[in-house]
Amino acid sequence: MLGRGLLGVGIAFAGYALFAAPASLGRDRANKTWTVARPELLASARRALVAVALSVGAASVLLWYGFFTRDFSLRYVAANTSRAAQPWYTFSAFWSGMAGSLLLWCLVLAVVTALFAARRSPDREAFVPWAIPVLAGTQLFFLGITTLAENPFARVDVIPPDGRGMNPLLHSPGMVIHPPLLYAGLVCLIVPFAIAVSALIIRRTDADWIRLVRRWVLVPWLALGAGLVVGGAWAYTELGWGGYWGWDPVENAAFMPWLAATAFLHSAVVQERRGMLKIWNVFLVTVAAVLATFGTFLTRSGLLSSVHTFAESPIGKWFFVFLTAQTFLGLGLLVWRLPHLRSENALGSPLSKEAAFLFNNLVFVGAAAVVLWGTVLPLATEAIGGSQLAVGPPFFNRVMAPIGALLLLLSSVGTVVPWRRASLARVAKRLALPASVATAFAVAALVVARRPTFAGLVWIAAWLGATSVIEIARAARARSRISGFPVRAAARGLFARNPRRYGGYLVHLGVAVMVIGFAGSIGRTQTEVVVSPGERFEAAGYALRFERLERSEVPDKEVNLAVLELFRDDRRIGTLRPQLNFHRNWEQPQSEIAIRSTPRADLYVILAAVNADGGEAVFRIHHNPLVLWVWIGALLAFAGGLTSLLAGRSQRNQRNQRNQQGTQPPPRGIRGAEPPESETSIAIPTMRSPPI
Amino acid sequence: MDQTPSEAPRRSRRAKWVTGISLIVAGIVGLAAWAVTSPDAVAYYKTPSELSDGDAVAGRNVRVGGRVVDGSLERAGTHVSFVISDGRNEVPVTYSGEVPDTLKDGTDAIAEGRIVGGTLVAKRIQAKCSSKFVPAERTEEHLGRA
Repeated sequence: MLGRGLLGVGIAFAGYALFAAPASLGRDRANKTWTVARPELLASARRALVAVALSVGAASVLLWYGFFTRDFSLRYVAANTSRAAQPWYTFSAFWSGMAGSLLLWCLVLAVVTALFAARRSPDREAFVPWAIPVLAGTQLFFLGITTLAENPFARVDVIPPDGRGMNPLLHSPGMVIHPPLLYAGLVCLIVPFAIAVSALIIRRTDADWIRLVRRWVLVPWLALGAGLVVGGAWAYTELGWGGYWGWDPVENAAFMPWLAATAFLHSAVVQERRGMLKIWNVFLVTVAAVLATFGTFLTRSGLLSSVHTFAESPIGKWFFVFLTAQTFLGLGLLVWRLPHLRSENALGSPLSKEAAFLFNNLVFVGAAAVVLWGTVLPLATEAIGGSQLAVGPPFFNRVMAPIGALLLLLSSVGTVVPWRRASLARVAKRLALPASVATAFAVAALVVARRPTFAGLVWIAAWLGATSVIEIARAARARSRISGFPVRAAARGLFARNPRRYGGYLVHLGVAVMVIGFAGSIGRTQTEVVVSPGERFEAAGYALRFERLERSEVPDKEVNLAVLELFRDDRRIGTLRPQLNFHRNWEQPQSEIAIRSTPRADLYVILAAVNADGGEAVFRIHHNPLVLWVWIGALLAFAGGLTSLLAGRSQRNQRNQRNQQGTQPPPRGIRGAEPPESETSIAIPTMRSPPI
Repeated sequence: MDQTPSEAPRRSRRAKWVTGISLIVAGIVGLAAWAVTSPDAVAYYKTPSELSDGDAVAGRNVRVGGRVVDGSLERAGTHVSFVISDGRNEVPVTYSGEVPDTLKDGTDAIAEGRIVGGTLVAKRIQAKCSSKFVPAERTEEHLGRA
């Protein structure tokens, strides 16, 4: 009762903030703008949002307390944990079911809202009064369905002696961090939407707006990206189908808003530098937020199985109402303010940075549209014709591989092409060196793998990777030449001075490395062997010997552990221990996969079956080339994104200080006022202050 | 623009933009159309009853969903066979490959493949776990994959 009461308190405060924030405004008739007429009311709305965060936080702590004290009178606790559960999995059991997932959602939303609205900060102050109602309205919706439809604090009539425990598939470190990351990503996308709504109302989609929004998109973009990769790693190490991405609707649900956010991060640069694409940017922020809600809706409403289960699910209808309201709010305001959103500059030459960015945006949005179409096709066909039609991974792979290749090519061109207009000859000259590096890589790939498709993908990826590295190196050299600092210090200064640009290049490099890892999936093989203890066999270029099968009983499961010795050229190089366990509570087998990862390929061994008398065992052995590079590339990309986010903070603080001293930097995006796009513009500040 | 370009170049520039944008949009649409018509891209959802009512499925990729009939699941190494039922009719399924851990008697499963002589020869299997406390739901965590 207490937990639900706390959520009720949260609802009351969110409801207060929803009305108090706009009520604090007064119409300034002379300037046709809104000004804060009752500051105390706005301040109280902010405090109310902090109170929401505190009460939802308290409710969450209460649920965690229930988990850790094994309070099986709570239905949700009994369903998702057991006495044998380890502390980490007791902690993560919080979000292993529907009700807890929604509560986690509310918690993240409440904390993010409080972080956005509670602190006064000069760069966002103007947008806060109208952003609060959007955020508070979203809180009301999620708190409402958590309390009314999916109460995590519901009690059972008969208290069971032990809980059922979490599904054994969720016993993985990935499952501890994957859902919170995804939720954080999806939830945070509501903040840029709120800022966009606010900006449209007060007619301020200017340079300040785009800087603020960009930062609030970068955070969910990073969280979603990291969440997707961690989810892939979980699937790879836990599910035992040898892959990390299967175009599953729940994966797509998080992938689509990520695509829209990625598009925005690029087009935001165009608005900042050239004052263009304002309509497009507002549109993208709206689309990202709507897709985020839709993603939640898709995974949390039962919509996926069938339109019919969705109609039966109690929260489905409310999600639909919310989604519609969000879409109409965003697009309606956009149309209403269209006259205000005119570009400050006309479209330049089709061979220019803005053109490359615009084309890349179209491709990203097109990709999101294709994924959306493929994901909702079963629902759409069922609603129209009664029978469902679905597209599977072959469809997505066929469409998305060329789209990905096109994006990589556009990124290479976009990196080197200057703003406004470019000469084809100069662009070609700057792309020549990376292209020859890429050709070397591709030839090597062709010689080793003898697959033209693979070599082609390597060429495209290596081109982007080489372009990114060479651009960083060029700029660092130029900077060091002008400032006199050694090249390495100059490179560090580069990231400190222009973290967004060079952080972005690092992301590109990481993506290129990941794509080489993806391309490795072309060379996948798998074999299946049935062997007795002591028997030797060959698989994936290794010799293996099945030593023995160890069987043991632990409280919640029966364990079968196979010991395999691994040889290469008659030299023992390792031991693999795949397991096949049987969970009693779940009457379910579960494989623990043994993976030997090397830069060349993963040897991925599944103990698929064991003979009842402990004799023969069946192993399925996958040879997955280059998978390690997917994770390495993801780490690089994450580091790049983090650089661009965190290093930008110090820059912003400096700017705020400058603003307070009254020395405004020249406004960007105004005709003729852009700083020149060349190495010198990067190097000049160094002469005033040493690189950080 | 610092200098106003004269009308003619501006028009030709706009034509270039329109061409570029149309090419990209047409390219993506064309790509999707090509991919969806290629073999095995599309699967038709059928219930066991629709199949036994004689829906034309010869040579088509179908997805059959239903409950795994109690006692029908047989694992022989990595080959499994089971019977899917929608309460009225049943379809036997054979499958060879990675069996989702959550596939067991009494769970809901989806099998995708072709019908050969009345049996569904599956290429992909998905299973959702039945839960004793929570009403059936398909979430990421509950989804097995083939």
